Parts: sequence; C-alpha cells; structure tokens
Amino acid sequence: MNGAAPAQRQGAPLLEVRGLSKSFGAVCALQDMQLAGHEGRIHAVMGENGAGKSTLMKLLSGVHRPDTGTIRLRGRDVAFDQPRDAQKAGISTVFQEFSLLANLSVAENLFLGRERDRTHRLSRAEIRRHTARALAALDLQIDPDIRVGALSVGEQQMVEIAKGVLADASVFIFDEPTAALASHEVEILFALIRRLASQGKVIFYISHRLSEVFTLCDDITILKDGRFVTCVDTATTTVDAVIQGMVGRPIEELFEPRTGLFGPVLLRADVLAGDASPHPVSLELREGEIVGIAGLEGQGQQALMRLLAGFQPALAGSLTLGADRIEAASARARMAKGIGFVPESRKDDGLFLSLDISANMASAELARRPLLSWVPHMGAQIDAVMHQLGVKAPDAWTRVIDLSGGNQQKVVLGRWLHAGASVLLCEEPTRGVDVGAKREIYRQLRSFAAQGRSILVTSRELPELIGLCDRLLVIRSGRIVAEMAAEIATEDALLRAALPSFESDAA
Amino acid sequence: MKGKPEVPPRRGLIARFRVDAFWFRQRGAALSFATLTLMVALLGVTVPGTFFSAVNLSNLAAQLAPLFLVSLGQTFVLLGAGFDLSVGAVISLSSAILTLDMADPVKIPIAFAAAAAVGLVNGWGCVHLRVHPIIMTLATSSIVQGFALLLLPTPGGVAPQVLVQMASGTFLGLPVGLYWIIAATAAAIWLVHGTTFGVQLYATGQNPQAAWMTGIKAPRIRVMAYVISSLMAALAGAYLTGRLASGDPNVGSALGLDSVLGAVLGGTLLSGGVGGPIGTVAGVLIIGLMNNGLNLANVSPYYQFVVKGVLLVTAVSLFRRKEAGL
Repeated sequence: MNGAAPAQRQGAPLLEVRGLSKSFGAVCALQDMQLAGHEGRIHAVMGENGAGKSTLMKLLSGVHRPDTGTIRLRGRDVAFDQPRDAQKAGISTVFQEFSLLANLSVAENLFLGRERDRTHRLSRAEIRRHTARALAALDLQIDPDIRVGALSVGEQQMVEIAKGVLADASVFIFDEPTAALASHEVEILFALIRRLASQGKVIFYISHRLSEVFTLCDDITILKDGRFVTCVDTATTTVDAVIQGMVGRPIEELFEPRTGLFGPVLLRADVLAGDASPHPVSLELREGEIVGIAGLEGQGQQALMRLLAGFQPALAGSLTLGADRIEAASARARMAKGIGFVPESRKDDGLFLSLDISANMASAELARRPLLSWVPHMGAQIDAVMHQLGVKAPDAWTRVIDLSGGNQQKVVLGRWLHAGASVLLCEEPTRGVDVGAKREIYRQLRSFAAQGRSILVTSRELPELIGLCDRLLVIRSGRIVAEMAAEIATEDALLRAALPSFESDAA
Repeated sequence: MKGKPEVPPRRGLIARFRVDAFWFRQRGAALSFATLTLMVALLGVTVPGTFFSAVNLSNLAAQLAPLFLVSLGQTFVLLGAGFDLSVGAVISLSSAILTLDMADPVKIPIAFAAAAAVGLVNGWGCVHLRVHPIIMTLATSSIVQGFALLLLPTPGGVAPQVLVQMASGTFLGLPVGLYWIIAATAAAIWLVHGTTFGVQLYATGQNPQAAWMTGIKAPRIRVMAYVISSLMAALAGAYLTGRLASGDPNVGSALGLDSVLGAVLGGTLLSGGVGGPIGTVAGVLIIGLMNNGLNLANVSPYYQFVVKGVLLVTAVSLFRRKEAGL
C-alpha cells in the first residue's frame, strides 16, 4: 500500500544542515543541529515539546535566522532573511496555522502575489486553468472557484500543499499536519505526501504521533533538548527505540503499575441515551479503577463523555453516582456532586489562557459557591496541588498561556483535584503533550484512582490506553461492542473489535 | 476519601487580594498610573496655583463622579467580553424618570428598575439572541433615548430633594462627589476582586465555553454584567439630576463613549477577561486631568474631543501589545 518503494538514501542530500544553533535570549533552542534530506524520502523529525523541532523548521523556512551553522541546498550555502526567500529557494512549509485567506477562492489564493506572468497579467480564465491543472496533478477534487473558508481543514491543507507545488518547491515541511484532520483526511494527506516523495521532493514531517511516523516516513531524526540525538532508517528501528531516544528512558517506565484494588461501583450508566448518542450505553466505574474507551476516531466517544458529563441531556436510562441518581441533573449540578470533566480541546473548552494558574485551578470549586461570597484564601491548597502535579511554573500567578501543553493539561487536572472530584471524565488526556509530561500525567491519573476515585479515559492512542487503564471498552458507531482487561488487551485485539467488520485487515 | 481537607478561610483583605492575584490581572494599570502621575506632575509644575487649589480639585471631583460610575459599570461589561453603548441613554432616562411629577419614593425605585430592565434586555439579546453587543446596545440605546425624550422633551422638572442634597455641596469638608466616587470604586473592587462572582466574570470573559464546561453559569454572569452597568448608569443619572436639581433628557449622551474610554485607558481590553476597576480609576482620572489641564491652559474645549480620540487609539494599541507579549 506504500505505492512505489522509497528512493534509496544515496548520493549527496538535497538539503543539508550542519552545526546549526539558535538562541532566544538566554534560552538555547537549538545547538549544533544536523539534518539531511534526500530526494524522494520522507524524513520525520521527532522530539518532545521544546526539543527544538519547530525552531529547526522555522530556520529552514526563513522565519528565524540561525546564529551559527550552515544550510546547504543543492550543495550551495543559503541564507534566508525572510520566509519569502525560503519560498523562492523552493522550500514550502505547511504550518499548523494556514496562510490562506478564507474569503478568497482557491484559485485566487494559489495565485496571490503571482498574478503576473513574466510578460502579462494573468487573466481569470488562465488562473483558473492553471489552478485546475495543479489540483489535478495532485489528484485533488477541489473546485477552484470555491471560497477557501468553505473548505474543511483537510482540504485547506491540500490547497496549502498545492501552493507549494505551483511554486515548484523541492522541499516540503509539514508541521504536525494531522493535528486537526479527521481520519479519512489523514489518509488523503498521506497519499499526497507519498506522491510528492515519488516525484523526488524532500519531505520533512514533524509529528508527535509515532504510529503516523512509522506508517509514512523513511527516516527519523530524533532531537532532545535542542540537540541532535540520532538519525535512523524507519525500517531498521522500533517504536520503543525511538521513544527511548526522545525521552532517554524505555517505554515500559511510562506507565505506573496497576493496583488491582477496586472498591464498589462509583458511577453506573444504565441504558443511558442522549440526542447525540442515541444507542443506549451501559457501563460501570468502580472505585480505584481507570477505564479506557478505545475505538476508531469519531465513533461516539466524545458524545458519550459529554452525555455522562451532562453537556447533553439524557433522554433515556439512568446514571448513578454513588447512591445518587444524576441523569436529570445539569452538568453544573453533576460537577458539584463530584464529576470532573477534562475536555479534549484544552484551549477552547478548558482553560482561561490570560488568567493565572490559581484562577484556572480554582474555577470549578468557585463555581459552586454563592456569587457574592468572598473568595476564600486558598493559596496553600493551590500550591499543594501544583506541587503534587509537578506543574512547572514560577508560582501560582503565572499566566496559563505561558505554560507548555503538558503543564496546561496539569492545570486542568489540578482544577478537579482542587474541586474534590471523585469521577474524572478525561478526553485525550495527553493530546499535544510531550513524552516527559505524558509520563507525569499517567502517574497523576493513577494516583488519583488509587485514592478511591475512578477515571474514564478516551484516547486515540491504543498503547496509551493499554498501558494506562485497568479495563478497556471498545466503542463502535456509538455502541460498546467489546470489553477486555487491559492486562491481556493487545492493539490487534482492540483494532479488530473497533473495525466495522472483523474480516478487515487491522493494518 | 473524597473531597479536600477543609482549610479555614483566612480573613484580611491582603490575603484575599493576593489569592485573587489581582495585580496580575491589572498589569496594564501600572502604565495608566504612571501616565497619571506624569500628568499630575506636569499640571503641578505648569499651573501649581490653580491646579492644586481647593476649588479646582472639588470641581474635578464633582465633574468626574458620573464618569467614574459609568466607567466602572462599563468595566464589568468589558471584562465579560461585552460592550455597552447604552449607558449614556440610560443616564438620560433615569434623569427623565427622576424628574417626573411623582412622589420621590415611587419614582426613584422606578428609575433603577427601568435601568435594570435595560441591562437585562441588553444581556438577554447579546447572550441568548447572540446579537453582537455593539448592535444590541446601539439598538437599546436608541429605544431608551426615545423613551427619555418622550418622558421629558426639554430639560426641566424637579429633582428629588434627597438627591439634590446628596449631590451638591460638601460633607465633612470634602465635596460630595468624592464620596460617590469612593463608594462606587470600593463596591466595584469588592465585586471584581473579592467575590467569586469576580473570578467567574474573568473566566467567562476569557472563554465562555470553558467557563460553562467548568460549571460556571456563564450566560447568567454575562447578563449580570450588563445589569450592573445599567444600574451604575442609573446612579450616574441620579447624581447628575441631583447636582443640576432638574432633569435633562440628553444629559448622558456624551458619557456613553467616555465610559469605554475610561475603562480602556485603564488597561481593560475589549476582548474580555483582562483589566479591572483599579485600572479604570486611573483611566477616568486621566480623562479628567486632560480636560482639566486643557481648560486651565485656556485651550478650546473642542480639542478635548481630538485628544480623547488620539488617547483611545494609543491605549488600545499599547495594551494589545502588552497582552500579546510583544
């Protein structure tokens, strides 16, 4: 399914980076970095958050200028003063935030700043024709006249790539391109990237997701703390080895040992159904237990979590927390009774970015108090929670926007610790979090459960679910179709249960 | 097993304010206070005799009291990521109602109830009908101004005696306006920095969706901000009516935009959840001193409009940069 076999790593690299260093003030973001991109090969750049991946790519795309070191393109040293220089040299970057203008059509976006040929101004018809040809060359079925704002995120990304193709770029840089994509869009993107590679382009692919890197990429360069660790051929390495390179420790140590000690049932859903999740769902969470929900993307995980949290009203069935029936209670009332909710999208649904850590952590607890009551003194409690979670910040008055993704996630967890939640509904607990912080979050979730509380987790990453949870439920089209103990669960077994038909090949 | 250990709440203002990290949310205010100090120094050096005279200072307090009230009210709305253009009209309406031919104990409550109703409509429209705050309050502003003119077509009427007494002269040797200012500021600071309502207001203004998902009644908080703003406007109307001893259906028209200016000059951002009443105090004083200084320097009062516009743009761009960390 990989199409043509990848080009061999032979001859001089098209793009070569040597001894590259970059400091921002006193912070050394990148030190003595090396990187080599060969024609026709897809090269992954991996590392924890803050390892220097983004800095490296920004140096390559002309956003920043290196302090020392060289970038060689086709054997010649190049220096970029601004992104435009890098684009002219043939380096096209698809950043997480696209540079497209939502109000213009696809064709207009592609030819923005290029409306002139050498001799004349291109007519609308010509622009349309060129656009249609460029899109066809990439096998994209996108109408050149459609407004970019009307396209899905995935399609916009395709247009962004088409822009690079039109500019005749020879190096393509992708910075976490799948972060906002649905799974079928990821497939299309991968096909497109492979097509670019088969045309002899150099591809750099930045991602956190190991599974993607192993399906797509030919080489992996690993960074740690701004330094080059190693460059390996994907075919000759393993997931564990890559993780060890990024973290500096083996993967088994990521997860805490299970306790196996469970109390009585804490949360019980009995044929519970809501608007967005019409199929009745029954499940039980016992004290001390972490239960994971596995499944392909978009199989109703989010609807189920939000039904349990009370953001969607329950239409049928019952929900019991301890001894209380809570299916009729509002989300707010359920939170007051001890349900905590950690949303998948921290920034949109979880955090108050310009507010400090203490306000963010206290918000859930304060929401229960009468509006005109004094804000209690809780500095000591906030400090204790921060210390317990290992939030890396100077103090509780640090703004959340200044924290890394992992620390932000700890603040959301800390909110429910502070509020004394007994059941935690946790969507994608380690999304956009680096491996070091992941380990910390796993440890916190386990110790939360060990205090006689329960956790329900959804995650896209099966190894995470298997390592973190005690018991796994598999969800498919909004129905829970399988249940297994995490100790004996395998990715293969989970995938088989998650796929619509058992005959499907799990790969 | 569950729940956190109960820690007895500590008493004392400082402890609470630290917890609330209120300086933190008021970082912009430092710049405003620095500007203010500079202006005082400038006026002190150029026109020391006139500026620091008792007459000038008590005039200043009397003139600024209404702006203080509405700007503090506006601060609540801005913190909740709203915008209230209707405060000017609400001032005028309350002035019109307060000078109706009715018994004082009847018309005073009516004036405040009417203002609260306007705030409710504003909040309901912005939050539940999802009308943009500027459009919503522009609309209510027009409606309210219309009612004010219907009730009181031309300036006149008789102000309640109690308001005349409360809004004119001095009390314990200080101009009464100063007491209005201090009371309103203290109440605003208490609400924003002392109560859970304040924290929830910041949270809601920052991210209403996250606030709701945390268990905060975000829609209600936003509506309450509009009601507070309208009530503060009604108070300003009461003060002005008392001071003039009669009603004026256009008395508030200039104060609508000035209220935004006062809050913004104090570092409150229009994007919500950043700033606060302490900055607004500085912001209003900057406007007051600017007007006062230009008057004392015998500059045409029309220049005040020019300067105010320039200040507004300067402040918004400065504070935006500060917030973005540039």
